[in-house]
Amino acid sequence: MTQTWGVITYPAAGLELPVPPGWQAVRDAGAPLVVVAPRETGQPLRFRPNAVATVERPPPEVTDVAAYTAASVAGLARLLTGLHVIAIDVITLAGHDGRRVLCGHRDGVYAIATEYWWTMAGGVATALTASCQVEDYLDLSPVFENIAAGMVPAGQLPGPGAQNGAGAGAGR
Amino acid sequence: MNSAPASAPAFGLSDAERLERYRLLQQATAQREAPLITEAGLRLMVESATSPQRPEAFGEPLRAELEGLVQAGVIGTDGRLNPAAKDLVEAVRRPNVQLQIEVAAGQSVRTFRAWLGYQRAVVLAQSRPAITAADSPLDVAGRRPLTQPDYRLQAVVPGWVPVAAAQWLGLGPRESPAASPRLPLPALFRRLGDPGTPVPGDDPVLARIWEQPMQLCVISAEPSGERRILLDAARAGLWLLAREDSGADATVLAPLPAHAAWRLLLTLIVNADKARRTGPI
Repeated sequence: MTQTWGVITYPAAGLELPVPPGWQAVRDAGAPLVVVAPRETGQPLRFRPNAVATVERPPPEVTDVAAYTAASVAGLARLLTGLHVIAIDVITLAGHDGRRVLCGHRDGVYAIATEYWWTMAGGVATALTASCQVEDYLDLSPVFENIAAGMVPAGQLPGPGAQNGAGAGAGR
Repeated sequence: MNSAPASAPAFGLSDAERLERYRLLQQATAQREAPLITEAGLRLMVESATSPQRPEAFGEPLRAELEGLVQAGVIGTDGRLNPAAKDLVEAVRRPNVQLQIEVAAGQSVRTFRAWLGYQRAVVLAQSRPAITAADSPLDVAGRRPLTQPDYRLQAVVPGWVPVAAAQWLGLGPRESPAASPRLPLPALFRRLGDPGTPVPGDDPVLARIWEQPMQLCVISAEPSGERRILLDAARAGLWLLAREDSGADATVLAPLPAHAAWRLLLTLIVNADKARRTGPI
């Protein structure tokens, strides 16, 4: 059977995220949409590749995606161990000005490659964060790119009381 | 505004509790400094797996290197390899993949070497050659050989090696023009040693490269034997050297955006590991 891509939505913000075949959406209190790769049998110690979409209203002084990127990269340097920013590319994401940022960092015993896709629309910033072990990056970066290419960024902030978690959509 | 009375203690902790927190904080944040060793020091580390290495058997500077390895916890005070460091020696003796990067600028060649094992990798890296914003073309072309050709030894997980290599090389966001200038290789070599060398031809991209500090990076991996040569032209980008298809005595500089350079590092390691698995037993 050919597995197809699915889609999960966060209607409160108008956010949509494609789900690669075999991946699953999971609930997470910290992010509206989270998808994770299937757990590999026999490899219990491997970091589970994942993609997380978040939505926020940036501070007033952050008026475009270039400023958002500068502020976010500075924040990452404080949060991530051994952070090395490898690339920052100017891209278009769903018709909006965006940035794609590639980093290497450590997370416990793991060496992690993380890619960020950032964009801003209507004063709302959407961030897609896709992570895997460095060893898996060559295999997974096309999957991450497809998730980013199919993402519909948030058009608004969720109202008070909106719950995180996915609403499943039709397969693509 | 609320404020605590001047006589109130800063923290509601007893001295013993404060000392214990301080001890835990120190323990959590203390990092043993990576020891500086030479090739001889690396051999000494490998030999400590089979026979104890005594400081009195060595003169300087090898004695200091042995002491550095003991302080770093690689070798025990009895001169034997610490059991926890066994897989480091195993990685050096029988690596799955070896990655080597040499960066040449002026009269200086700096080297990064990594041996990747199953669980751990050993990285030996000389001081970083990455070009900084403060470096002029003359500064880089005038680099002298290192006065102390020591390596900093790091034990890392194998997946960290490409990140360590990217850090060491200074691989990061920078301009990457969509152009592939051609030039005679001898002219490039002359320019690497002398920033006053005239630009060969009238290509504006080449002229932009010419005015930046530049250095040559040779990246190789074993057992695949693959090798790539990169030109690091600071703000004018990173370029992959390739011979022109026509067979003419010209070299093509293919633009290598940071993303592609990262993928190149990973691909060299993956191909070398593939060559090991498919090679003769």
